[in-house]
Amino acid sequence: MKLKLRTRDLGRGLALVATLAVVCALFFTSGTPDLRRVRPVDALPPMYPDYTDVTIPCNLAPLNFLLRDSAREVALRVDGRFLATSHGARLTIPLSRWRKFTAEHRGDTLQVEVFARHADGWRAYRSFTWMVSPDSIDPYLTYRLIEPDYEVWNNLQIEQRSLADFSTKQLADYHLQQNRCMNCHIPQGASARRSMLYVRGEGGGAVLNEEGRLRKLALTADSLVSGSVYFSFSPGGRWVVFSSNVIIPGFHTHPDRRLEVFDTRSDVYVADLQERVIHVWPQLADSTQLETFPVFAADGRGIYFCSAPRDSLRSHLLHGLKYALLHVDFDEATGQIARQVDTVYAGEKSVCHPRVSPDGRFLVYTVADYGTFPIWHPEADLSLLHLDTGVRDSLPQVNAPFSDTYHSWSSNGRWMVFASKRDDGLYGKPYFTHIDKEGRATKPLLLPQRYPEYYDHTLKSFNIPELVDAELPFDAVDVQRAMQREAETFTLKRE
Amino acid sequence: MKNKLIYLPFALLTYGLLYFWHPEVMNYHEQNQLFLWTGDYLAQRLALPGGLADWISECLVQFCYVPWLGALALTVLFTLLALATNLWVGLLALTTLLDLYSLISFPVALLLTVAAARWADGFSQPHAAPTPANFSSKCIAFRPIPAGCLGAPWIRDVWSECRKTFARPYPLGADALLFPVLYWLVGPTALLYAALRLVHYYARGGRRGIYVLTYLIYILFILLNAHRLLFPQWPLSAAFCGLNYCRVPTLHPACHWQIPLTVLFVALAQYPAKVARYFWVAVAGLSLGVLLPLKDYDPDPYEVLKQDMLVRQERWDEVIARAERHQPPTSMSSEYVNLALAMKRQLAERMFQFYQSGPDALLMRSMRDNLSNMATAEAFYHLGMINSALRYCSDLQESIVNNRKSGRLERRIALCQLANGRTAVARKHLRLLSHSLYYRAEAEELLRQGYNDEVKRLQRLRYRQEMLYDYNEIDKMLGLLFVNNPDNTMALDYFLGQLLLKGDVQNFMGHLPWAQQYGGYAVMPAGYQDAVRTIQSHGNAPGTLYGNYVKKMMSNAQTEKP
Repeated sequence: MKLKLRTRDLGRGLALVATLAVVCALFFTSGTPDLRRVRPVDALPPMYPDYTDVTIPCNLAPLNFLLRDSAREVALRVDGRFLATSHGARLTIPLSRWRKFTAEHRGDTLQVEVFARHADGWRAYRSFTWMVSPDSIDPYLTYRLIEPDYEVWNNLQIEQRSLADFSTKQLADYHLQQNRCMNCHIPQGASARRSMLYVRGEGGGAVLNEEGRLRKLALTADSLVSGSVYFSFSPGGRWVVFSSNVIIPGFHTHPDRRLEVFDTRSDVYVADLQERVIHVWPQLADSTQLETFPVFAADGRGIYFCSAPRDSLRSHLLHGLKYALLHVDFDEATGQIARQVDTVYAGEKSVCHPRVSPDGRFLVYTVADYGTFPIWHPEADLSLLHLDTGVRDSLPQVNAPFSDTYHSWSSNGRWMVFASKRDDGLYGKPYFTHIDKEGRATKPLLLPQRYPEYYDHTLKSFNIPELVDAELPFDAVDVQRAMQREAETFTLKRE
Repeated sequence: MKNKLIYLPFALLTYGLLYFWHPEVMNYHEQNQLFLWTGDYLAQRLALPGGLADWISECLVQFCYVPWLGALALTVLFTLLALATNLWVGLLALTTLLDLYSLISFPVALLLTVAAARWADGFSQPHAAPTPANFSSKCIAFRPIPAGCLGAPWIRDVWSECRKTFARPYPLGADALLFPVLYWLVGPTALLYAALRLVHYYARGGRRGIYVLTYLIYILFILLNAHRLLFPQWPLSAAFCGLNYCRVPTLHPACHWQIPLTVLFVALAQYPAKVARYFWVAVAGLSLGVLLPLKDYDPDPYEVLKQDMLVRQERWDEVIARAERHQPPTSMSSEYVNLALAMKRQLAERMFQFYQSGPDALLMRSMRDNLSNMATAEAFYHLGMINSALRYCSDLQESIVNNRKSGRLERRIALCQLANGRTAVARKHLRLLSHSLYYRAEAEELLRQGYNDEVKRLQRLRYRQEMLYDYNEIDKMLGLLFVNNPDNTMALDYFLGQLLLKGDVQNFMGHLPWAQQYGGYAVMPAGYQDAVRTIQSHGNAPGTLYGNYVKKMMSNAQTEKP
């Protein structure tokens, strides 16, 4: 049968399509509130993540959020202009609009208003500010995704996330690593050109990225305490200072406590990646001390590390296990370290994870009541030490009641990322804080997600967040190939 | 097969096997997944090849929470599989060649074989240490079953729609689009479809080798590129053997291919040459014979799984009654029976009437698999050792290597977190459970109220004292649990029981007055009397149950020494 298309039929069809389009438009698009009929509410919006009064990197992805109430529509007005509206309690800001907005307002402090339509009409929450920082943040973040369980780990991934949008790339994936443990992807001073990660278990090793060329290293020797754990690159990249730890998990019976992970033995060593030699210095490998968390100074002329007397392991419930922050001079040209070890800070609390800012002016570390694994200590907080004046700042604007720890600096030294459990006490999430030239920190903001509910649903923790200045030149398949090679071995040299 | 009633006996047999004989198998599978009725969950599954089959399989397995419903769902599935085979037989015009009755029974029989016997592979040595950790690794997660089944309705539709295409001499081009779609939905089982299409093609007289070669190259191209572009983080073997066909993603047991291969052998039997026809019939029969490893069937592993199911359902009397008839000699079994005895306040009385594996017969050390510590986790939970229950449940769940959650364990974790006052974390788990079918009601109630009677009970029982857990001193920990709350008589029973298992007679005798003072016993329990008699006679009192246990332990220790 031949189909005859008549003008009348065409007209009807077009009318139908137009009607449907209007209905869809009415249904799917949300409107802005009529400001004359908005009811003011004397409270900040119940937004999650909490993006009120934050400083935003000018190149960060949109701060999508949701309101934790029964909002039917949400509207966001910044600097007098509506930036985005949404149906439902979740507000997502189009990427292009957000980029234009941050580019236009670089360096501005802006008034932000959130409106929400409820059953009784539109409400206007108390306004707050956004400061769009002219200091950009490194464009990529790497972290490990792990469920915060006890002794068993499974399905680990080391991932790279673009901070300018929401794209991710797997750097190491459990599917390709026989479900082995993987940890600690750490770059050299936030540079994507050199970084290293570990794959544990049989056939494992350290995978060193040198501008995209992957080397598999057996960064260990028979007489070391154990395998390498915490490490740091020297600024020149030739040296790696690392700790070797015998790590023991303990389990609390108290409802507020969960795990106590501690070292029964630990020493610090310096490895020469060029000559493939591990240097053992008695200053760093004292059998009566527990040395750990080594890190190079920004200029490479010193090594900071933490140390506690081994005797303190005998203290009641390990409450006497308190690490001090120490420093020893290092010569990057020869790999020699000084005899003299200086105590930088030894206080009532235990110091962990020291990290020096790229300009060498600040050192941020974690303090906990005791122990060496602050991630499981709710009281663990970040603290900033002015290396030039010795002034300590307990960063009250940064810390929260639950664990705040494991931080790293951006390459320009103006941003810091750290893992915080402030939401629920169990799941670590990456937060960013701006640190100005005077060492003043701002209220942290959570890594934005395409859908903010992600954090409600995921059962993974963001572990060991590290900022990187460019996309890493390798992926999970490259790491798998590297792991199939024979590991480069190191010889041990006692100094 | 015209008369579809012929499937009825098979269906009844399947239902009977699952519901009456092995309900514990359904329970086991159900507790290793948490199916969520959300779009995200479906999208997550569909993001990988074989995702629809995976989703359907999990959807069906969730009904195993209610055994009769689970058995029914699986019976329908198995019958559909038989019908799928029948459809292919019809398509291939085999009616005059072979006895179709036996043909359609192949997949069903194979399936039952797989379900009944292969599940128990890792369990075949119950006399060895606890439950072998590799138990789960041998378990098939039902994935290929819907994958195979799904082909049937799909093929029927395609058949009616594409009849003309099929009738052409060289019809393989139609698969250019269909094969990738089928591959994405059901995974590499789609290769069976491709193979059958080739057989069908040849059966209709097609002989041009270039078409077949192109077809095979195309399939290879699809598989390799799908892997390279869409799931490169998986090993290449997964593209050919399935991503989630097995609970251990890296394992690809041969039995996954038993059903598809037998169907293929049956199809090949219609090859025109007579000799070849009988050859393929013989191969199909042989594959059936090879796949009947019933000689390895061992009821003990199933008995342990059954104890696990009964403990989960808190059917304590049935656990004890079954153990009175037969008890597998494993630590897990000892733990389940002891827990049931304790829950019925018979532990002090009857503990040594049952098999005791040793000092681990009440509580076991932490092990890395998804089953062995289930009994210990249950015991910790009922004792009120909340942090330990939380730890064991979390680690058990984390040991499900295909990264699925467990409804059973998620529920426990949420309750423990609530009891610990970790409401925010508990809500996270409860929100997850609220999207499931069978855990939703309780989850929603807890989300509303924040507590229930169970949470209050746990809070009452828990430790008041801070300490670090030490398995080597588990007896002291049990003693402290009781000291922290003298109403916790189960902790007292476990404490004294642990001292006996450990052979710490001095401490047992020292703390025996606690049993009289706080245990609520009118007279000293017979089990303790028996132990005291053994201790006082230095093990020489004839016929004492505890004496027999001590002798067995000493004998084991001597055997192990050399």
